[in-house]
Order: sequence, then C-alpha cells, then structure tokens
Amino acid sequence: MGRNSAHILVACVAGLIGLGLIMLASVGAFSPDNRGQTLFFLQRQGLWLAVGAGICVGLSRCDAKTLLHYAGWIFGIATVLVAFSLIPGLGKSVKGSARWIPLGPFAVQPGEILKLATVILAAGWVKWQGPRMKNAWYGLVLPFLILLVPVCLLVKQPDLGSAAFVLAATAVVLFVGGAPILPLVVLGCVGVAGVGLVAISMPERLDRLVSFMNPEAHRQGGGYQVTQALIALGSGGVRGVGLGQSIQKMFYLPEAHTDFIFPILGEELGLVATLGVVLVFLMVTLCGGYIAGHASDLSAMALGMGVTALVGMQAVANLGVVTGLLPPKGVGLPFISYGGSNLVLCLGAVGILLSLHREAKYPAEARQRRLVGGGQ
Amino acid sequence: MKPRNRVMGVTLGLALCFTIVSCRLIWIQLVNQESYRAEAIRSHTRGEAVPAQRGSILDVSGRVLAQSMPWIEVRLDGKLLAEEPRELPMLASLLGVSAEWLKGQADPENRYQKIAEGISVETEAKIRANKLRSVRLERKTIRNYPNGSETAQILGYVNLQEMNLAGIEKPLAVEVGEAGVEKSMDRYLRGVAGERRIIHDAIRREIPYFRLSDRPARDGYHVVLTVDQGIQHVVEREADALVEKYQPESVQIVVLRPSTGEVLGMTSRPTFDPNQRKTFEAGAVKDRPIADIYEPGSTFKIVTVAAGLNEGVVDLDSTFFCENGEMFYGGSSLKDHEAYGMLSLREIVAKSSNIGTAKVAIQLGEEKVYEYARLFGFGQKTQKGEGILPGEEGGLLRPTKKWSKLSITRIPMGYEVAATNLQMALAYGAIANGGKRMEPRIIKAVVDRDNRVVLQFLPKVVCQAIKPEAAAKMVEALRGVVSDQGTAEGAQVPGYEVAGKTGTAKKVVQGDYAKDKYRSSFIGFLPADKPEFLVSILVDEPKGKVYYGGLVAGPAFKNIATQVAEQLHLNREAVVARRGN
Repeated sequence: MGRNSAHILVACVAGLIGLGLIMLASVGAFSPDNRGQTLFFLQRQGLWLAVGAGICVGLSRCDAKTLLHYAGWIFGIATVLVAFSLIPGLGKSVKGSARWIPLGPFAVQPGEILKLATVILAAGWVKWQGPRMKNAWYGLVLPFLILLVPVCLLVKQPDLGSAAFVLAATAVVLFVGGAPILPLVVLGCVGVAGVGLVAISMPERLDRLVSFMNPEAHRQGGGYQVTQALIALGSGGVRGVGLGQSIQKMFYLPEAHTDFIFPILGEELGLVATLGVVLVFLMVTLCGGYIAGHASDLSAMALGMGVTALVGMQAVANLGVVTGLLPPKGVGLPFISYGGSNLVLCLGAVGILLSLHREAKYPAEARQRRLVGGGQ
Repeated sequence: MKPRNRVMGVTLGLALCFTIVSCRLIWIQLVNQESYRAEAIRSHTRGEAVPAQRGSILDVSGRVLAQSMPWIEVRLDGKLLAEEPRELPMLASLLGVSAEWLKGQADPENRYQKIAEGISVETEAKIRANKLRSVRLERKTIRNYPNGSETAQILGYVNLQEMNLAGIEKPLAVEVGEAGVEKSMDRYLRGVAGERRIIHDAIRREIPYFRLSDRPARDGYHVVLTVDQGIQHVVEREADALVEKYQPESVQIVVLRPSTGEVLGMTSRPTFDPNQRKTFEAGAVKDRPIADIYEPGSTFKIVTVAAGLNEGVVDLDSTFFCENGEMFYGGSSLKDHEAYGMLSLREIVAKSSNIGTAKVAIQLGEEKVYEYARLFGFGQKTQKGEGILPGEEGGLLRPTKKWSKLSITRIPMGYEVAATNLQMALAYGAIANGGKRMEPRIIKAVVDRDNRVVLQFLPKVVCQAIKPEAAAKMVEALRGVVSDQGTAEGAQVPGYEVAGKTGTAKKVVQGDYAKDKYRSSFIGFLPADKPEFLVSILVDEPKGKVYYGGLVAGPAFKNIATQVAEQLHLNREAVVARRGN
C-alpha cells in the first residue's frame, strides 16, 4: 500500500460522507425531529462537516509529538466538559440522557470529544511510561484508574455506549503500547462482568439485552427497532427498492436518521450497497492499521491504532446492532449517521492518522515524500 | 510480541468483525429476503373499500322515488375549540348558527360531539377549505325518499349493514334492501364496492405515491318502475280520504293497465314513512295488495259467469229464477240482499244475485268452476322470476275433492276462497284484455348510470283465460253494474263507459261470519270498450251505516278514475263520439 494508504483512506472517508449526506437527504423528510424542514439534517450535517474537515486538516498538520505533549490537558478539558453536561443549567438533556452542551443553535456531545481525548491520553501514557508499560500496574491498572473518573461521569449521563468505547479504545492503545496480555484479558473479563452488573442494575438496559435475544417477543418494546431494521434490510433485497423509495423510513423505523440509517440504506440500495459500505469500513480500518503499523515510534503506533479502533469499533457496533447481532446501544454509524460531534470525532481521528502518515516510515521507500493534508 | 504484530492483531480482529457483519447481511438480504419482504408487505399495506353509491328507484317517467345521498355529519372537538377560539365565529357562520349557541354547545370534555348533520355539500367544501382544526366531517350515505310515505310499501326500505370484504380489515357500511323493490332489486341497486390497496406509514396514513391498485366502485343501477308518480299521488290521496271517511281497518288500492299487467299505482293503509326509520310498525310496512289475502265476495262472481259464457252453457240473456231471495241447497239457505224473481244473466251480474250465480255454477259443475278459478289466477302466486315484489301470497283455492256439499254455492260468490287484491285486479284485467291474463309488472327496466338499459321486463301473457268473445260479453255484463240498474251507480265516470263489479263480503270473526263487519270492494276499468286502466279498491271494515261496496268503494273509484283518465290523457270526446254511433 505504501504512500497510497492515505489516499485510499481519504477516498474511502469521502465516499462514506457523501453516501451519508445522500441518505440524510433521503430520510430527512420523514423524521419527527426535522423541525418541519426536509433538508434540515443535511444542512446541519453539512455545517458540522465543515467544522470536522477543519479539525481534520488541523490535526493532520500537527505533529503527533505535540499532540501527545498536551495529552493531559486535552483529557482534562474533555473530562470537565463531560462534567458540565451533567450540570442542569449548562447541559442539555434529550430523551432522559444529559449528553449535550448547547452552543447556540448547535449542541456538542462532550462524550465524543472524550473518546478521542482518552485515546490521546493513553498514547501519551505509553510515551511517558516507556518500558514500564510491560508492568501490569503501570501499563494497565493505573491508566484505567485514571479513566474511572470520566467513565463514571459517562455512566451517570447515562451514555454506556461511549463509556464502553472509551474503555475498549484505551485497552487497544495500551495493548499496542506493550501492556502485558494476560492481565489485559483478566481486566477485560472484569470489565464485561462490570457491564453486566450495571445492565442488571438498570432495568431499561436489561430489557434491551433480553429483547435483543428474542426480538419477536418484544415487537412493541425494545425489540421493535431491531425487528423494523431487519424488515428494512430484508425487503431491500440484493438491489434495493430504489433511492428515496424506502417505506420503513415512514415512521416504522425510529431513529432512521441516526443509529438506524444503515437499514434504510440497505432497503433503498440493497445488499450491493450494504456490502460496499462494510467493505469501505474494512478498507478504512486496514489503512488505519497500516499507517499505525508503520508509525515512527511506539506511542504513535498506539495512537494510530487507537483512533483506527475507535472508528472501526463504532462501525462494527452499529452494524452489529442494526443486523441484530448485538443488543441496541445507541451508537451511530461513523461518517454516515446524523450527529455532528461524532462526525467531528471521526474526522479528527482521520486527521491524526494523516498526521502519523506524514512521519511514517514505509518499507521500500527511498525518500520521504510529504503528503499534503487530507482536508485540502 | 512485536508492537507491529499487535497492531496487525487488532486490525485483523476488526476485519473479522466486518466479515461476520457481511455474512449476516448476506443472510438477511439475500438468503432470507423473501420472508422479510413478505413481512414488510404485511405491515405496510392495507385494503380499503371504495363504497358504491346505491342506485335510485325511478317512476315510469324518471321521477325519483328513492335515492342515496351523501349525509355529512359535523363533529366538534370541544378541547381543540377551546385551544383555538378564533375558529368559533368562522364555524358558526359556515353552519349558519349563532356563535353564542355554538359556544353553549361546545363541551371541552367531549371531543366528538355531533353539532350538525345533513349539511349541504357546498357547506362541507367550505368547511374543508377553511381547514378548521376543531371540526371533523364524517361523510356517510342516507337513503332519501322524496315523496315520504307515498309509494312506501312498493319501495320498501333499506338498512345499513356492516359488510366484511375479503382482504379489507375495516367493514364497509352498505345499504341493504329489507323490503319492497329495495329488497327484490337489491343486487342491481347495490352496485359493487371498489377496492384500493394502499401502502401506509407507521401511523396508518396513506402514502399516495405508493398506491398499489385502485379498482373503482361500480355504482348501483337505477330501477325504473311501471308506477306513475302522478297516478300514485291520486291513489294515495283517495286512500287517505277513505281512511278519514270510514276509519276502516285497512284500505287497498291497485291501479293497473290491463293490456300489459303494469301496475300504475298501488297503495294501502296503514302506511309508513321510509325516511323515518324509527317510526316503522310491522303492519304498516306490509304491502297489503299483494300480501293480504281475504275472501273477495261478489267480485269473485265473474269467474263463474265468465266460465259459463266461455263454455257456452249460458248467454247474457239466459234467464234464471232467483227463488225470490232465498234458496235452499245442500241443507242450508242462500240469500240475496233483495228478493229477485226471474233475472237474465246480465241482471244477475248487475244486481249481484248470489242465487243466480250459484245456479250458473251448479250448471257448470265443480270441476269447471275450479278450472276457471285457476285460469283466472287464483290459488297461485301471480309473479314469477325476477323483478317481482317480495312477500306475495298465493291465496287459497281448495281442489274440488276437498269441497263440501255447499262449496258449489259459496265459492262462486267469493266465499271459501281467499285472494289478494292484486289477484282480483289481474283477473278483471284478463276480462278487460280480451281474455288474456297478464303477469303483473311493477318493474319496467333496470338502467345504468348512463341511462342504458341493462334489463327490461316486457309484458307477458300467462294464459288465455277465456275466449275474446266471452270476454266481450263479460265486459258488457259488467257495464250493467255501473248503471242506474246496477249496484255501483256511484262509480260512473262522466265521459266514459265504465265496467266493474262491487263486492260486499262479510268478515269472519272468531270462526263465524260477523253480522256487522264487511269488506267493501269495487273493481272497475275504463273505457269499457278499450280498457286503458283498471282500479281495484278494497275497504276493510268501513265504520258507520254505509258498507255496500258500490256505496263505499264505488265513489272512490269514480274519484280515482276521473283523475287517472286525465293523467293518461284519455280522449273523452272520442269515446263519447263512439258511443253516439
């Protein structure tokens, strides 16, 4: 792949974003949240795209070293913002979750910023600890203890999905950074058990889990969305019913513009498009992994793999949910679902990968060429 | 493990996840797509019935006797009106009521309150155009009978029935004929409901872009009756006059055209108003001229006399000794209402002598009397096949082996037999029609919405009951009835020769003939030499001193015949001129 990895990455991301905008235009008219404007989501997403592209270019211009240098600050600010969103006067609550901080007509989800900040912090941690990463205490337990603060805040929101991603992405970074494998597996098991406990303690979550196992019996409850998502995908068949011709988006499938946009894509454009999208995500992951694998040093490698995993895992989680493989969690599909903060986060991740790419050492490369940043 | 291998491990892990998702997608969208598609169709589509408008019932010249009209109900949502008070004056002015009244009606608790119904289609359009939120308009259909109780028993009435159609979840309210022409012609009047298969969104609103199929309704056909509304009106008024004058138990009048058997008018009392569904009484809905059987009395004498003439055993000038008013036969006495000596056959008919008629019958024999009674249509239903009125009775005529010794003297004068008024009218119609007995016709045709004839009911001869010469003689005898020598002097119609016969039958009360309860009847037709129409009147139990058929029903015949002759534009002068020859 060599130098082309970045080109492929940018092309894939641009394709996903373009497809996402088309789908938002398609479903936008039928959402109860569109404030009466057919293209409301498209316009909003366009604005966020501009912001995200700027951040992407900015991060791609910025050295990984500089970024890691300010890792603590970035993480600290993100944690404070998450805390802000919980304060009734400052934060905004939608459907029982205090996840937003309103900024004029827009609202920012600090949880999304925190995801990226956590990955940066963990990569920074890898850099500071150096060889001590092999020690289970310094390489694993200590960083997770630090993370306990923002994770608890996320659980309080509640935004269990983001909390899980923060932990999982950190685990990836630490794993790549040299953390011992066995304690990591143990810690992972403890984490899963913890999630299970939290789920049982929150009846609404438990219902989601149970209904996932038997969607037919929970048609009107938690299984409803998944049932409708499967109907949308299945009725699309191989070739789809045609762009804009979805019926499931006519209020059958809730959240058709955010978490459940993929089934509408499957209904309108068919298996050809859904497999295509999965393939493109796979390409993004492979490019990210390739860039990370050839990064200049260990911390950069960890950072690259961390941001790649952040995007890839979200994609997997969303696809798993909408195809009925995983319990519903409230995770958007990166680059495609409506949601400004997540789009900015994902574009930020791409920016970091492009920045790493500039300094990467690819095999069979006599001379380093400079790639112009992805945003330009 | 080298860091790069760890990176590769994580990347491959993610790649594996994507592969699993891909397999799952193939499973859903390729392997199982049909079952999901079926599920989608099941939950997205629904069938909707498109109601067909019921056809109208028209009189012979196309005047509407029954029609289905849109009926619009206005329902007020008191809660929404309270939220949007500015709609109040607008609604009040549209409905033509005062705002205060409307305000008083509005109940914030009641979200489905009927405040008006039967508003015009124009008002409905205005309300819809104004998009008033607090009002809901419901379009229903109502069967309207513009003439009220006139023709009611012929037309019958409809009921709204909820019908479940295949593939359509919501039952359709259909007007179903329950009596009269509404019932017998229901399959033509009803039409065929159409069907729309639509795709709807999750809150069940149609998505018009995706309409699957649209089969329009086929509106019901119109049914054209032989009844003439003008004649019917005359008949109805006379029935009312008879009711007022005699307070009878019931009145029946039939007007028909002897040459075709077409019923021009028919009514009975008591009656009902099909527009007022709640006021129906079982007895009033009954179409008595076809559904009530009774002992006809003297009007039945024509059977015996016509049989005698047809068989050639007697002639108009044959004379019979009428036993001075009382004849003993079979151990019982038979009386005339006056003592007669020698009477010609002509006089026997004119004066309605029971004894004379009995003697003719005895001369003919039981078998012949029975045979001619059958030929004249007694003891059997007159209508066959399609286009009939429901509920007809066939009457009673026992076969000769069940006759008693006395029957041969009783049956010729209209006792021990029972017939409907329509049967009597048709028997007289046969005489008026040169001996040809016609099937009755109440329905002329079925036409579609573009006035093309779908089905036509042509006149039909049932049989030649008697020879034309015999019929002519019979008419001559009947002309004697409506003369100063006959029993129905009052039935004379100025300008026309009338032929007819009176009947005054004692009613049976608790198994025996009552002394003071009678059925008075008159059946006549004109012009006698070329009959255009026939009127049969029956007054059941006239109260007061007058009860003879000639005195009760005779004048009523005159009233009706005079007006009907005018309605049919019969040429008076021509008749008079012919008489002069």
